[in-house]
Amino acid sequence: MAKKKALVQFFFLLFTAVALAAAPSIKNGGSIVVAVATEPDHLDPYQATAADTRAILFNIFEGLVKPDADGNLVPAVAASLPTISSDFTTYTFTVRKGIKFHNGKAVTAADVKYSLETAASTKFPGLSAIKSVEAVGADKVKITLTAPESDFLPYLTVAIVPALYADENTAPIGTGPFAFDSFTPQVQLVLKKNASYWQKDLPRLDKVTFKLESDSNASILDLQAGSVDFASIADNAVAQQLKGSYAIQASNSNAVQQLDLNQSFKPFADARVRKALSYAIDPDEIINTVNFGVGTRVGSPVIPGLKAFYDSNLTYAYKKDLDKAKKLLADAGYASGLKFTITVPSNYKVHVDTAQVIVAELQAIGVQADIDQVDWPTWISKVYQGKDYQATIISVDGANLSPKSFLGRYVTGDSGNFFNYSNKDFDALFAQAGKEPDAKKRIELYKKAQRLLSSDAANVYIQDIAGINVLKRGLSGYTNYPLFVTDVSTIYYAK
Amino acid sequence: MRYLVRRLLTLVLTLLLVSLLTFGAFNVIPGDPVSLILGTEARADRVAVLRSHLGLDMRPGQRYLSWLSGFARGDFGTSIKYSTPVRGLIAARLPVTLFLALLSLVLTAAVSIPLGVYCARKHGSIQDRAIGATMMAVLSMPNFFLGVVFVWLFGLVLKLFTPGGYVDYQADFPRFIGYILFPALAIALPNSAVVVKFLRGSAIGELRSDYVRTARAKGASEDRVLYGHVLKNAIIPVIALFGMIVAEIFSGSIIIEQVFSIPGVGRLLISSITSRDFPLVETLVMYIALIVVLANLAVDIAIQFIDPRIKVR
Amino acid sequence: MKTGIPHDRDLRAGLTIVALVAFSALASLVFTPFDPNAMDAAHRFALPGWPHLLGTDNFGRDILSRLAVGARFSLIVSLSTVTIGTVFGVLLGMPAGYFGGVVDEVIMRLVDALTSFPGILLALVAVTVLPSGRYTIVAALGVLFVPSFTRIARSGTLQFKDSEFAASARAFGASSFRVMFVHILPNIYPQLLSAIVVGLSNAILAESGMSYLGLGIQPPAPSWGRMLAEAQAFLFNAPWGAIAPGLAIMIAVLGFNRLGEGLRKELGL
Repeated sequence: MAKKKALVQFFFLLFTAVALAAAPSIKNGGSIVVAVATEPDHLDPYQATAADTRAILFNIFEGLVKPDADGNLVPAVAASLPTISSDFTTYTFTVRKGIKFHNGKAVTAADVKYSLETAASTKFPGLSAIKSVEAVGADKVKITLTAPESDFLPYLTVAIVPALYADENTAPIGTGPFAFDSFTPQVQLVLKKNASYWQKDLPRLDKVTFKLESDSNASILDLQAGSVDFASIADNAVAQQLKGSYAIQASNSNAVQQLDLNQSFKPFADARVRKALSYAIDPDEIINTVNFGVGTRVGSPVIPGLKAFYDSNLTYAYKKDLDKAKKLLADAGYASGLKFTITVPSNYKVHVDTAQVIVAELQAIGVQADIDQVDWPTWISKVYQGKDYQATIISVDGANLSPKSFLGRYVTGDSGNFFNYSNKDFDALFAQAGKEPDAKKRIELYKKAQRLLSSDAANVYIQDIAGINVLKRGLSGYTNYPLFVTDVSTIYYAK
Repeated sequence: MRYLVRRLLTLVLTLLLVSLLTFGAFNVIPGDPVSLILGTEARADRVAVLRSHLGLDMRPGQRYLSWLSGFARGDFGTSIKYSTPVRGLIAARLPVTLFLALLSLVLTAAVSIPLGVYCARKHGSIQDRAIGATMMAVLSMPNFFLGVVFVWLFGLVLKLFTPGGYVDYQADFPRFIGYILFPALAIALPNSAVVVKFLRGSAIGELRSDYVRTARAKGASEDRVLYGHVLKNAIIPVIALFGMIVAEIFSGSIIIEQVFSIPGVGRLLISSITSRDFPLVETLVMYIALIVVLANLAVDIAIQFIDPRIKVR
Repeated sequence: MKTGIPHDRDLRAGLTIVALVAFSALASLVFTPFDPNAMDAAHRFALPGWPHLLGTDNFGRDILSRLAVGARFSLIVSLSTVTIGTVFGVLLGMPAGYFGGVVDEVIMRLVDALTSFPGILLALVAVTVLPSGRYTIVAALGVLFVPSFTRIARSGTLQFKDSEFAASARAFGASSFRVMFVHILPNIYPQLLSAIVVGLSNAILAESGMSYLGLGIQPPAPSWGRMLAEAQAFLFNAPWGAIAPGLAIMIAVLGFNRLGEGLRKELGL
């Protein structure tokens, strides 16, 4: 018996030794260059709205809470998760002890109050629900809402900034792991390590340079030359060429690529036509052809990363069936054929390529789709705001980690409802879910709403496009988030 | 003198036309800079505030006149996207593009003049035909493709420079030149091909003329004949070509700057069109037009200078 | 021109190449080895061989078939572009040269302004203003080619406006319009022809540049320029996708240029 125990102990020690030896030892310091496709539109967190900008600003700013790599909200500027009143109208936070801004000033309740009020005044999403913010002493903040809201926490990721600081757009100051160093328009944004960051051991690097690439081709050339250490590429085939000097990691982009059908275009107002298209278009083929087999097929506008709310049963709701598709088209009166135009933004190669695949797939059921490439500003102006299109392909993400931001668009008359979808049953379900205090019941209601959208074939949902991250060999520690963020604080040079 | 004044007046007229065309274009194409700044989810009232702040709620005619009067005073306006004065943005980038253009011009001359004369001297020979074929090949490639091949060949294969490793001209001038040497070459080669063809043709014509025979009879060396006499005459139509070459270099630099990631005026132009940044685009287009028209003027004056027999209107 | 096979080498070579391009363009209307738009992801990036003689692109589409159809699109684009450029160039350049004075000033300033105008902006305007279609880009390209044709038409007109036949036509009471288009135009057409042929090859290159910027002919139409722009992203792992259209463009441009050279010599310019 003792011998066996000794043996077990021996192997345990051996295992630990091997594991320790295999784990890369972390070297603190160093700097990296990250390639980005679009430069920050604003450095002020309350004005920046582009997802790409928010992804980078994630390193400079933090809110009372912030998301972790699993999508859960953890306390950041706040010391712990808030105390919520039983009627869901009051959220009380305690400011983390010892936390400082990049300029050395300690964070106080007054700063939190200023931040929330300023953000609310710039109509930051969700903060219109705040009735008042009260600073109780130097370190407690009481937020009172206009109406009971059980799910208000996701909106409190909004950045906390020093009170009355006026230069946020030129020299931003926050509490994040990196501080602002310099910004050269169209060239690069440089961040330096926040030496007094509240999370011990982070960040590991001394300096991060976000380099702007003119286009994806330039990005690839820079990677080939090794002048960039980290990048997110859309093309798996291209990434494979870099295998020698880069580690390749696939992650979700946390947006749903979809073929949106404008219901103001007569054929698309008919659910049978939409269903026919759904049966004819094969997301698996698209993922295989355009993304070289890497991507997550979806059947709902909610991202798979929102694990609790995502209904995975819907993924194969419209398994490819050309006969069904043809029959549905005929029932709707388009047996002789249907013609429409897909408007795609030319700067997103993945959507242009997907359009080409869809055109080929639809030929099989007698539908002729033409492609019309427009540049990004035209897409926003014509398709998104003007709703002047027939079909379009785009990836739709949510502003934050709640099912509301992914499903809210489908409510009749919603400002983001650029496909003119209108379904009274859905509107009712959605409103009901928003008011439901019980978490389990809420989840079930949102899932029911997704099932409704699927059976109604509101749009053709394709995939959550895989982002291929390439990290130069010798670097380690990059973690993916279910949100659109580029967290560089955990990256380090391995010894 | 009168000639100069007239030319300057036409310069102003041309610039005015360019500015009108650009303004017209901007009013036609869809796309609102404010939506691009504030994002797709922006509230309508926030959009309205920013539009008014940027003066975008004025009527088009008003907006154009206001921009024009500002421009005449030297106030080039404020970039909508970067919220900083246009002048500063362009001032930082114009030298880069100018250096690139200048280097391209120098390389074009350095490559094409000797080659043109050489081909004229050896016309009909294998060397002449080989060079002609290479020049043809270079001319037949779309410029972005030539750029990509250059990046691949000189950057990745021969490792003579690091793609994406642009060096600021104020930080390290020699290395800056070392970096823009290759994009300049990519612009210079196709233009050289055109010049070689012209120069060769022109020089061949000159080689048949009387004064060449006279010079040879007087015992002048072949080199002296070529470079001293023939070149002086043959170069005239080529100089006329240089005006067009300058325009070509500027339009070529737009795409080359993209491929080589050079922060010059060309890249700024593309990105500012994409962000519908009207003040920036207008001023950039004016700058480019000014340079092109000035180059043409310089060429015309140079021709007059070199050969007063040619009367330029 | 004499009948029969031209003696000049350039002319022969040029005509041969252009004929080859035209032939594949026409043939593609009737037959191609594969459907140029048929995708076959399982066989993507196939090396040249059997059954795909020139291999396949990133979608698994047959490159040879796309090249043949591309000949058609590229020819249509270049012919239309040059036609627009020539027609407007002549309509603007001849009056400018003939009348001189204010007319000449205004037209030439317009032409100068057009030269400095960024092509991308022009393309955006064309794509917006005109009904969306496959060939919308042709309008923009055509306008971009107007300045050079205008200049040629103008200088040619200057050459001949005071010539004997023009003067005598005027003496007989012919209107300016008649003098220009009935008498002068036939004399400057050699210069125009040479420029047209060179313009054809430049148009193919210009369309390619537009495709690279996302503005060219609409996909999935396989113009050579578009094929090249799409393939250059995969230059490092599948270069033949770019080599095929690249070579095609080079050969066609060479052919047009040689033809232009030969014509120039034949017409004694």
